[in-house]
Amino acid sequence: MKILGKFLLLAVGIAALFMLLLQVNWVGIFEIKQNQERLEKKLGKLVLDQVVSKYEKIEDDAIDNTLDSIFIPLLKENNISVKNYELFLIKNEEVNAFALPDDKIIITTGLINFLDSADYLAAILAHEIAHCEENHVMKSLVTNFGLDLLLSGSGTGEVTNFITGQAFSRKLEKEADEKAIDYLDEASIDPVSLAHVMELFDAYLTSDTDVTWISSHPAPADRSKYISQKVEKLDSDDKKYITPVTMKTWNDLKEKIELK
Amino acid sequence: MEHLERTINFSPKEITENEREYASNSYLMSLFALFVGLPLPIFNLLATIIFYLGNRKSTRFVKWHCTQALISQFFVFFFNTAAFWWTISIILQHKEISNPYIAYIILILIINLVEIVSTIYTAVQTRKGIHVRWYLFSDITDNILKK
Repeated sequence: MKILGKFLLLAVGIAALFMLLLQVNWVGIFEIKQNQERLEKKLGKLVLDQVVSKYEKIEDDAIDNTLDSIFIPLLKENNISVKNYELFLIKNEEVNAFALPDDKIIITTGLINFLDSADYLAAILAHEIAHCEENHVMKSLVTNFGLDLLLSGSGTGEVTNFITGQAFSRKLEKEADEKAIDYLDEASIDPVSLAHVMELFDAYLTSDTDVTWISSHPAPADRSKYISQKVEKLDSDDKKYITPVTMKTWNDLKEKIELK
Repeated sequence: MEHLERTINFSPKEITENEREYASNSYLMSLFALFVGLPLPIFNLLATIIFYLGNRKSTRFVKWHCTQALISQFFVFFFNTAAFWWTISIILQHKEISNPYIAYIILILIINLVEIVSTIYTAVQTRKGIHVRWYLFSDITDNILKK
């Protein structure tokens, strides 16, 4: 009885202390959300600096205008704040696109050369926007590197490799694909484009082309299947889809990029 | 944790130098393992269990303190394990860091701090041959060793 009494007293004491601690807004005191945002901005800048130091960043008004014509409507039509986002084009033969922390998206010249139409690029951008909006980059970084690494800010080389490789889990990729369909539909771009992109990647996966974007993702054939299933479910019978830029503008863009 | 110093059961004069050292080491063992394997709460418990098993056939004084150290480690292990798996679930399932989580981590830090301070104090005292009884754990130890 003596032991039971002491045990109960200790249990009540610990429970009371916990209840007392629960009354405090620790998230506010430790500025958890603000610190996460600061960390995301810091990481975004850090990785961007590393990517830019490794590859040439293409800055050309005409190219930027065309890319913005594809990218901005996707954000605006989905009520996503444009000012948070930045799109960068880097000179690299790899067919790759990736989202960085702090809403920065990087696409390669190899990707533009690989794609046949602006719709396909819009589909890939919608997928990357979904990764940003769902905070997949930070979630995956926390999962892969743990809080220690993130808080100490060390091992950025590994972080950069991880982000450029974009090895998200299947669950997150599916989530981004499904979200991308909604974004495309909302922006009046045919969501089937995303399925077509997957078919395109599927066809080229065995070729010599360095398709980094897809090699680290789930099988394109599987993705094409569930994307098509979701597109069929969309209530968009009367909807008229438009292409973000004309075929001529897209081909001009590819030519300009090739000259760079 | 409350400490009641009594020399009722064991008189320092009757306790040999070897016994004092072994009894004191039973507490230091858990401390050492705590710092070595800090993120994983199992290490300090394992170290104490190994030390306890190694001293099962030792004198009553040494056995008593090994048992008290082991019970205290079980107590901390229970709380630390919950914190460990809560943290893992936040990392792997992408959960938000919430007020209850931080409150629990602070609670754990307080419990561990009390445990560490008490352990160091008890290790020092037992080295002098002074019998230190912890709140609750000493009673459980008495009960176990009576059998």
